Amino acid sequence: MHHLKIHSVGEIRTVGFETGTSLLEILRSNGVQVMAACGGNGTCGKCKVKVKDVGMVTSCLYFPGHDEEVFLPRSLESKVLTDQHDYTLSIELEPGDLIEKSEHPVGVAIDVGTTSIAMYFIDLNNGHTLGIAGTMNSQGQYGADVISRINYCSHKPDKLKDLQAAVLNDIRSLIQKECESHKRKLTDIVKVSVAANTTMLHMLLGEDPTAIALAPFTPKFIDAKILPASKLELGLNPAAKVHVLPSISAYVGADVVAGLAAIDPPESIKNYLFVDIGTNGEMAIVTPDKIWTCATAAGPAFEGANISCGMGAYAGAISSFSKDDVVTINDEKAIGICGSGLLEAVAYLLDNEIVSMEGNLEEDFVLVDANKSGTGDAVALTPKDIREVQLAKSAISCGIIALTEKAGLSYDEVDALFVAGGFGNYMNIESAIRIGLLPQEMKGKVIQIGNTAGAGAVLDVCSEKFAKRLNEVVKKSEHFDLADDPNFAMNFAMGMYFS
Amino acid sequence: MMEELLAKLSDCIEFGKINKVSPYPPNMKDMDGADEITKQLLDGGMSADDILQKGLVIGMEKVGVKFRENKVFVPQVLMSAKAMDAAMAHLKPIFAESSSSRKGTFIIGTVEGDLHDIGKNLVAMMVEGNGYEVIDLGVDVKAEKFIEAADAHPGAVLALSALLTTTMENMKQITKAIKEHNSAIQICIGGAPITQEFCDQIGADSYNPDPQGVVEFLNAKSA
Repeated sequence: MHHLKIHSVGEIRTVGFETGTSLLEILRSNGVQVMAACGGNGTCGKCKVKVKDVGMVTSCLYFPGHDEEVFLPRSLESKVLTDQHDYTLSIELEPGDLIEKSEHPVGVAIDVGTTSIAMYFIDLNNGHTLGIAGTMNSQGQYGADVISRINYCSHKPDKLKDLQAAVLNDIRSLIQKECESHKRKLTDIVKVSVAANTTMLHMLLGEDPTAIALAPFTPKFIDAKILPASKLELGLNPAAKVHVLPSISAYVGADVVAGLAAIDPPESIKNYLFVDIGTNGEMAIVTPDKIWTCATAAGPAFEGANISCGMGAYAGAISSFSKDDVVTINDEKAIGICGSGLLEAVAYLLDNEIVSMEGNLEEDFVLVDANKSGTGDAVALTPKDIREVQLAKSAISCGIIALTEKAGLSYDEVDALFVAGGFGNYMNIESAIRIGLLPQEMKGKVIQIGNTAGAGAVLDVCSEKFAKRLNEVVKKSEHFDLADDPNFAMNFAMGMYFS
Repeated sequence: MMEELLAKLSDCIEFGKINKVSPYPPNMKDMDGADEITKQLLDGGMSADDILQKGLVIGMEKVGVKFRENKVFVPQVLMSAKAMDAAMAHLKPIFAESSSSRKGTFIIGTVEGDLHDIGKNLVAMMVEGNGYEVIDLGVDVKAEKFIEAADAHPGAVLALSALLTTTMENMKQITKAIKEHNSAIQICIGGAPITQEFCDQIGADSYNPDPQGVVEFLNAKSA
């Protein structure tokens, strides 16, 4: 037994490990969530950590042989993990009769996101998570957002097949890799539960999604489905079933329903807001007897698109910014800025009156000089970048205001604001409040809860009873269209100001 | 005195001062707004035409240029448009009696399948503020409705707006239908996903990335 000293911000602890275990596995088995989009296959480079006297290593490919010290980039991840546990439903294992079809039955929970796919591999004999894996959604080659992908396949069955094949291939290869690394057979998999946005579900099942993108936005289906896995040619147990979780509307999908059903707050939290910030901001307010939902086109600014130096949260992206401290992902030379960095940079510019309350920035603001960047060009924010941030933050904040009004509540009466999703996990809440993305009044009540869609899919795999909870969410929910409010345009415009 | 008032009216449009009680913008608090000043100018005997051309249009043009240069943003433009509305409320009844004063007619709508109207409204306000009569067909507008409106207003320029890449296809179909009906009808297109290349491809007459560009296109035509 060797010892690993783990340094994370403000905390040092020591854990034991056996040789032959990858650093990634050691960290994960000790509750440290390390980003590994490729699922620990050594291809994405996202799981890099700093090892003393060695430097940056890709943790899934690094097998420590003696006592070592490791430095984690940020402690946020582990906090999110704890919050996820504290506020997520725990449920008794009742996966159904299908487990008799294999000696070592396995359930697979999948969250198909527009950008990335997350998969949870669950041992259905005991409910333990065998592994978590992820990959980019390779539909990305046909368009970055749902609208461009719908456009690609609209009324074109062969193109729709391309999209379906892309996502099914992603799922197949993730399943295969997980089977190999956990020594399970494909036929051990007896149950699959899928949460995803409405468009992704249509493409997964090969249903024409065109109507989702055109007024009056009527999807082909929103109800839950159970189908034989053989229909999707996943090569699993012949008896295996795929559970497609229910959606609410064209833009409030099964991912949101799964998330809402997965959240199980303590008694003290009666009324709460739920916000999933992606290209579309999907949000809900939950009260004891009713749920209101709405979706708002936040645009992809916080995912790096439409920002001149914007990029996803990859190596070299500025993820945190203050005057004296620019942090990049993996500590590499800055090549751009991702959502969390953008939020902090704009908050900084506002605090220092470099950006006015109207959102005016006189000239490009250099975040990292050309001679220090990884590209040879300065990494800077332009006046137009600030405009993009104004649009995105107003879309989200208008949604939050409208929901709270619909529910007839004041912020005092809203006990918590759960922020879900990838960007939500990594954003600095103080900056989010500073720029007006989240309401000032909710300060101290914001809880970053991680991938709730994935959590919901896992619950569905583990228990036949979870479907009832999903249906209750759908039944309790009423969707409304922000644009139906005659004051929306004015509120949206005025919400673009900073304070 | 009248010159000074006209300059003030132009400022009210530029900075979005609707009327005396409007708290916006803060540095013009308790001052007369577009509403009061337009009335004073009319009472002083100035023609509605001069008020429009020498006051309102000048202010709106400044807003259009500043918007293009990222110096003002949607909320300020909206306040300017509101100030414009307040002034036009006094002028419209006069224009209704004599049609001479308008530079032309502009018919605008968001294409079928698309409900986005903020961008379309900005263009409509800016064009109206520059002295054109604007007919707003709203959102989710079918080809027939555009054609019907164009027939009712010979010589009018049509403007089609789309925000979604999906509804760009509808924009193409509508443009085709209008041109087949009457190839002389001039069509402007715009919206976030639209490009000059797309404009050329579908046979529309003008693409502009910002409202001021539309105004300049119209002005060049009517000059």
